Amino acid sequence: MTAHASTANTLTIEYVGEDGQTQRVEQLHGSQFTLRVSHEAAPFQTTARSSSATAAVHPATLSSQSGAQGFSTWLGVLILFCTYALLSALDVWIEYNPDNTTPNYVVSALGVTAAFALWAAIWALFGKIIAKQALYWQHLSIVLIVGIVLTFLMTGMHLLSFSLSWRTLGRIDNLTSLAALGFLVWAHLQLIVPRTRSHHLRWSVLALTVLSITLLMWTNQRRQGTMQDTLHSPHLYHPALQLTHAQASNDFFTQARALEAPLKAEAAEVEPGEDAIDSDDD
Amino acid sequence: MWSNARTRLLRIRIVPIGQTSQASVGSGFFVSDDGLLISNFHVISLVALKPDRYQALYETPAGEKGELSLLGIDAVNDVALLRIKNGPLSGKPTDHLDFRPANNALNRGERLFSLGNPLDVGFAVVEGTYNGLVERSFTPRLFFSGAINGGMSGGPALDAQGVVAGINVAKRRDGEQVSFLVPAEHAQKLLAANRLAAPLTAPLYGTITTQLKEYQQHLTDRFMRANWKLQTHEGVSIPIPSDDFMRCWGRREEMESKAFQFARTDCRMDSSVYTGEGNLGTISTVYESYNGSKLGATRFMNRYSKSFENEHFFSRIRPSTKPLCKQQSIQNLEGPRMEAVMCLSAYKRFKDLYSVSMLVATQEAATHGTQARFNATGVSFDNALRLSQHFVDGFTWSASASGGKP
Repeated sequence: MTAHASTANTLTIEYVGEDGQTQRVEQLHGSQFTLRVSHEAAPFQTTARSSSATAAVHPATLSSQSGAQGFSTWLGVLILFCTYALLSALDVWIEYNPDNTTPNYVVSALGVTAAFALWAAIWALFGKIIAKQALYWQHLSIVLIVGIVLTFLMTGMHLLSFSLSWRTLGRIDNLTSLAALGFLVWAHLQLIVPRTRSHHLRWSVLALTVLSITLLMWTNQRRQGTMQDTLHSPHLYHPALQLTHAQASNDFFTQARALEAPLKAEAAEVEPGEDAIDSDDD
Repeated sequence: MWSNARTRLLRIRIVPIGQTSQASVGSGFFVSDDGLLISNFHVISLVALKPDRYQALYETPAGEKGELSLLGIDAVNDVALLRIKNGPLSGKPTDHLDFRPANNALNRGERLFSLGNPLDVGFAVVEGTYNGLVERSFTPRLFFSGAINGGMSGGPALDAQGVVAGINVAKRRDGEQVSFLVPAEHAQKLLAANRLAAPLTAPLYGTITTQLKEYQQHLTDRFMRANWKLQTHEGVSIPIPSDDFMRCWGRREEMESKAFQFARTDCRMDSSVYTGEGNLGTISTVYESYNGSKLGATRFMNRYSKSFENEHFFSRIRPSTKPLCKQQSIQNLEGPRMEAVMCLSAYKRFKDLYSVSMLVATQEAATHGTQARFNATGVSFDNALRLSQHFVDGFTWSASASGGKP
């Protein structure tokens, strides 16, 4: 048996059989719950936990646990929000010019808050409809975590593309964002879909994400001849951060001769919708 | 002038086969008594490239109509040679205009009379003056101060003696009575080379490509021979093309605020080769020198990156391949380190001709730098690389700064 206590003081009891399948689900509403368990045959395992927590807790302390976890959830969200707000502020600072009016960090922070709050609210609404649990703060935590990780990841990729001349890392922003979006959706759904179906969920979202990324790469290839998002990596940093040696210009142009063969081959192809070239040449 | 020319002048209409509506209209004039006539290549380019879809028709001032055959083209100089194919003039001797002898050069200020069919409203004689060769034009053009309008293309420009000094070809839309003529010698050469040629019935991509290849070789050699005009930015000499056949325009601006300043220079050729599917045979360069010392390195590099990002590499000529690019941090022996991106596209209809774009961002300091771009269209692969390397190697430490730079 597994008992979930939400911060809204709703107790959900799932009776799970030996095969791991949920046998029965009960939901109780009230301000305080005391759980007494009696059994006649061993072995027997009782676990009570909040949806957001993973550690097993003593079943008799659900009430106080709920309050404590509510506070820790709040604190966690606050820390995440402050971290993201700091990153946003840094971004705003970079974008503004020093002799312009002072950038309005508050408005920027509120904008981010509103967008993330709305996103989390939509998922919470889905959760309420599907699983009878909103879990708003957990959803907000997820979107903040993904936002923070993505910001660091992208910055790191851009920096590496410049510092180590790994330019591919500077040309896949859209692909990376799409992968992050796939992960974000998966994480939200983990809170909504019953755990017994999470295996299928994981594979479904993974398949959808892979499909989306493949589709984007295919579109990129069709549009500009490369599966990456852009033809060049535009990220430039302080010259001191460049860790690789520059190539001699002579070598650059010698290596560029390798482009001739594929260009000639592509020029000879007739693409759909193109007229075959009839010409007076030899 | 008109009475002398009226039987030697034609209106040329390019009409889709099986239709009566014209796709384009121009003028032409007889240059032999056996029905040979000269016009512009751009007037008849649809027939040259799509002979299975378009035909060239003529109409005299007297209203006689018939069909024309194409015998030869000079796409670089924009002239075409045609012959009467059928109609009332077929097989009959034709009055024709003579060319002004090469040893009788035009004098600046000399009166010329341009004839043609302006805007298809009727034949007209337009008086103007010859004002020398157009400066900085890679292909020679006569500067005619007179009003040439659409529809007059391919018509003759006669001197006071009624002989052909040039062929109407173009005008500047941003000026008044600034018009251009093809020197008559190019029509004479085309006539001499193709007088007995059989009518051309296949698309002339091969012929145009051959002519473009010769042209681009000449263009490349001349560009490489010319010395750079060096412009210095923060200790780096930036290679600006000479005024030989390119024109440069500059401006200096403060972007968003005084904290981020930039100076921009654009250089481009005034002339190009019309191929029937776009203009090729051009070289252009763009330079943007940035200074953001008040911004600090982080904010400057953010803006510097955005400017570097805002570049596109697709060829405007269709059909062509998608660009293939190579990016690397490079350095020549005497210059600053640069982030370089070179992209090439191949034209599908003009075999072995390419467009190339070379984009560089200098990295000599954390709060200033120069981004520059070199573009060439309609060049061979070898020349694309030669020109790009010539451009890159033009970035050097300026003499005053060379002692203190790595």
